Amino acid sequence: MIETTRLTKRYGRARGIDDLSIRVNRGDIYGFIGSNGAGKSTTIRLLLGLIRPTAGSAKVLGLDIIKQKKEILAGVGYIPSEISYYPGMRGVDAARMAQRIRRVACEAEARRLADRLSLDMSRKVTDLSFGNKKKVAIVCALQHKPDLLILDEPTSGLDPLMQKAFWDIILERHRQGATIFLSSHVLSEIQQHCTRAAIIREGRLVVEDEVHALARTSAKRVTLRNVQGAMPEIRGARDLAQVGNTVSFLVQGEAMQLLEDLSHGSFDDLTITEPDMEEIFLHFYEKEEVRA
Amino acid sequence: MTILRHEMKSGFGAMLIWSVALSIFAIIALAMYPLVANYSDMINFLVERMGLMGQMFNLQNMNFYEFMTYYGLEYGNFMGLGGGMFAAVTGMVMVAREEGRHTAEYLFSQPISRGSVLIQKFIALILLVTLLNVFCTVVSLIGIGILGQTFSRDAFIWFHISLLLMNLQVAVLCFGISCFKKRDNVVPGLGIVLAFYFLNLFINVNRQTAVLEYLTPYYYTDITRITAAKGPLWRSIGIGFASSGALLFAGFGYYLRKDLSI
Repeated sequence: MIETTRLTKRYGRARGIDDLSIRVNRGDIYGFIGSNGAGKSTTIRLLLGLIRPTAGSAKVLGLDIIKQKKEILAGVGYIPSEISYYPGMRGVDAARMAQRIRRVACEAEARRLADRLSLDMSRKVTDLSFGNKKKVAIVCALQHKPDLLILDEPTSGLDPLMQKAFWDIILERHRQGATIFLSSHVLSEIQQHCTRAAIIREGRLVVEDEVHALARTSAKRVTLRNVQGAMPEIRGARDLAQVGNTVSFLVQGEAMQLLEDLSHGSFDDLTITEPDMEEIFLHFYEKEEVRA
Repeated sequence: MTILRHEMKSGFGAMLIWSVALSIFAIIALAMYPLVANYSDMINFLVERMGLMGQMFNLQNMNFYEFMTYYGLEYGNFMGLGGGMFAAVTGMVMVAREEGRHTAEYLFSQPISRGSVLIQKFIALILLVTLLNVFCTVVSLIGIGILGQTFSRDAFIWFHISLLLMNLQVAVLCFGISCFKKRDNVVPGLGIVLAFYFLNLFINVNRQTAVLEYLTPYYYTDITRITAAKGPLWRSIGIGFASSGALLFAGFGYYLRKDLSI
């Protein structure tokens, strides 16, 4: 559904993205992770044809992002991280304008989405809070039932109940066959919903894989409860935290080596879990930093 | 035609306000004509002695016994400046405001080409400027009818066509500039209108600079020149539109490829 090949964008001397090659398959819920300024929004704007690449190429829905922009946009629903509408426009006007440009009659679907998101579409958009403006963007992006959803920080500004309602809708669309490309800072969201993910740092791809594979390739979170006496020395342990006599740390390496190190200590209980998304993110970021 | 409809809806209110304001000026000017006609001898006498000031506004070539001379001077001044400013302000913001007010992301993430957006916006601009001119012309005609004034129908038509074309040339030029801009700042547009206006006054004072006539559309809206030429000054109009059109095409070309600032 999305394929970028050595996609590069430079703003004069400033870097946007560099040699980015990613692939989003049909049916994926694909997480796109990176810190502020890493190049996530630049990538999305390139995919939507809002800006032009300096080098490289990209295809969305099998179509070229420069030559077939209009056809791509017909099959895409996009929720930007922040959005502005025309002065005096009501929510219903924003949705109708999008319907008219797309030449699709989907007023009933727009109403249904607004109801699910508890959104009053008759209010002027300029009077709406950030979260409610985001809901208008969600209605505009989803009303025509696109094959591909590109979501840039979609839940920012939404309260927890609305976040749940939003994800219910997105997962429903996914079950109906839509592919989701999600750029988010909320790593738990990526971990909970995404099948594949890419981590981007300073415009370059750090890693791209299945989410569970990313978890496998990184450190494990080890928690020891009721540790008695001195804590054994664990080779490669980091991010060590101790609360009372419960000790938790991240470790990467051979399982046998870890067991051998642990055998020198005394504790009642041991749990070894997959790290959460934040830890995976930090792991890959730190690794990349060392390499740089 | 969604963008065209949207632009017409957004710009119609402002167009109506400008039209009403300029029409009020037209009615005031027409209402004053009987007084001017009564004192035309004295006005002609005074104009002859106005020197540089009279030369600047091309008054020494005007005969205030003629209704069309008075009408062309008064209406030409406020409609030239007022209509020109409306055309400049509307043209200057029409494209640039998408980026300036951050609506570009909403608009251009819809399946519509930039070319189509520009064409629809341009048509809306032409329609708004034309409607303003039509509105004010109709009000003037009604006023002249009430006044019971006889006038040269041909001179009236040539003059209003010239004024409309002048407003359109400013609109075309400012629309072209708007394509290059990221912020919807109207000041350059107003500056252009004033520069054109004062350039025409400068040409009137210094006949050696007549070659500059092709740089300012105000030159071809002068009633004495129109009546002397027995029709619109097509050469000046043609050259003016060719240069503004060139900038418009350059602006179109640039906008189709530019990176939108969100």
